[in-house]
Amino acid sequence: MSDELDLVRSLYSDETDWTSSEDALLSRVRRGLMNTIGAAGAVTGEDVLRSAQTVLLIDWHPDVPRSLAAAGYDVYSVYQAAHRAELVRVAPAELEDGAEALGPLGPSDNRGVLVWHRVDSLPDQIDVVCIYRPPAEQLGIVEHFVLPHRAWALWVEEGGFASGMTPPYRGPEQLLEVSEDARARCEESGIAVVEGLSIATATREVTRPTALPVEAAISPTLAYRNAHAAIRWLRTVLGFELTALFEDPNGTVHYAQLVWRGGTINLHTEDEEGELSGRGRTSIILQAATRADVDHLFEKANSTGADIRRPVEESFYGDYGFTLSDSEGHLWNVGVAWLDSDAARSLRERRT
Amino acid sequence: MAVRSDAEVMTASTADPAAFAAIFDRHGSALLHYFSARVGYGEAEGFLAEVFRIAFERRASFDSAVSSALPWLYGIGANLLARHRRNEARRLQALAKLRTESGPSPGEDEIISALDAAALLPRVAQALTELPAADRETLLLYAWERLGYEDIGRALSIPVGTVRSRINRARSRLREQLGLTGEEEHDDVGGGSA
Repeated sequence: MSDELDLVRSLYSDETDWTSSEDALLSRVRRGLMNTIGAAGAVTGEDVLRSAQTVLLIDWHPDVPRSLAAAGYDVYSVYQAAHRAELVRVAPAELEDGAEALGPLGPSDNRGVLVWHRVDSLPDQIDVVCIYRPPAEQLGIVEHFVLPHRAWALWVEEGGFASGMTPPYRGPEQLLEVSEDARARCEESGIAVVEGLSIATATREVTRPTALPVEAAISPTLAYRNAHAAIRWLRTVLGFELTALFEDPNGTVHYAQLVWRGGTINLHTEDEEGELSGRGRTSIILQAATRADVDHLFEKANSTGADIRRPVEESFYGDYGFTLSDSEGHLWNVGVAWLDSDAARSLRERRT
Repeated sequence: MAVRSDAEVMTASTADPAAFAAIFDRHGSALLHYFSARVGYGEAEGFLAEVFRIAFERRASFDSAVSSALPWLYGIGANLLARHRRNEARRLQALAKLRTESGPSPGEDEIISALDAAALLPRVAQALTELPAADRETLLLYAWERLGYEDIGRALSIPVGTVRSRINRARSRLREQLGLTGEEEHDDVGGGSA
């Protein structure tokens, strides 16, 4: 009499004694939600960036698409046609029709080459529309881009040019204001407006400078029984500098990064059960340039039939990558790190 | 006065954020049970809070042509769970163990087939973990949350045809792996393979 659906259902039948705990749990979560709602009057740039994945740019300072793409956002633009941004380490030898590659912004810009790929259309769901246009055009932009794409935030870039570049066409003072009509239209549609802040700067603050500099393309990861003792040893004996630390209140280190003369190592507390992070495990991190780069590398590895131990996934602390085992079982972690201090904080909160 | 639909509440909450609390009051419990089934009671609270935080921040993007917010909330939940996939196999095996150990609930004549079913559970869990993640998500929304095809389509942003084909594929994979006789004849469980 049982078919496969009954079997699936009988696998989970609620064992929890909800009578005592459900109400308490729900009211706890509700209280947290009401705090969030109470604070909603003032949406900060940080809130927006934390919840967003897809950003549409309508005119921009050259730093903006680079900063967003480097931080792992999906970046689109409309300028004559729709384009999607991708950061690559080296300029492609050939570009498809309508694509454009733009070199680094200067000698200190280590984010590589920005490629704008032509796309047929914009995605249906855009989270944030970020504009760099004068007040007179803003209402039209809200009507034509923000509302149709059901974006929930409008970001009006600050004027001013952080790197001292010549403004492309307008003085910064004209761009600082959000027009009254655009603001009113957003308000009645429940769209958050962020202003007076560059999304490029805010992105760097939210995500923190990428803990793994792009140059550190290859770095080893060591598992220690006592990670804190190891960190102490590395700092005092060899002069390593601790540059990132994600840990539990109980002292378990999920990820630590240490730098020595431009080289990087990573370490964590070993996990006796974890296949990928077990006792004595050493693995190598290959730091990819972008999420798209990670996807590309994964497809390539997958097509060769490589032994994939962990498919591409995003960790809650912002690492996006996959793990391979090589011909003799050494582990290779390929990914792009997007480690942010909020994630570190939320990790602590989750565990307490 | 009639009770406001979810869509009306969502629309109102764009101007009056506090109205959003009603969405939590209506669906918080369903989402809690969903997460409890998928990740265990201990982890469910964190997921629940995160779903509603995201839903609140994105409330302006809710499609007000849809009257119930529940599929949309499941959709956000499914995205969160996708990041958590690594633990899913462990969770399913634990469920199978739990169900097998606690044994069948005392019934009448059905106890025999219930025993057969209990013996199959570890294999059900295994078969579920071997499904492609998208098929598993779809099947569990169907089997555990008892959502209809249209609501699943809304939750996962996929066409109804895709929902149907995923569920059909997942069910036939399960039947195959569990050695159940195919099609509509479910009179016999588990054939001769000991």
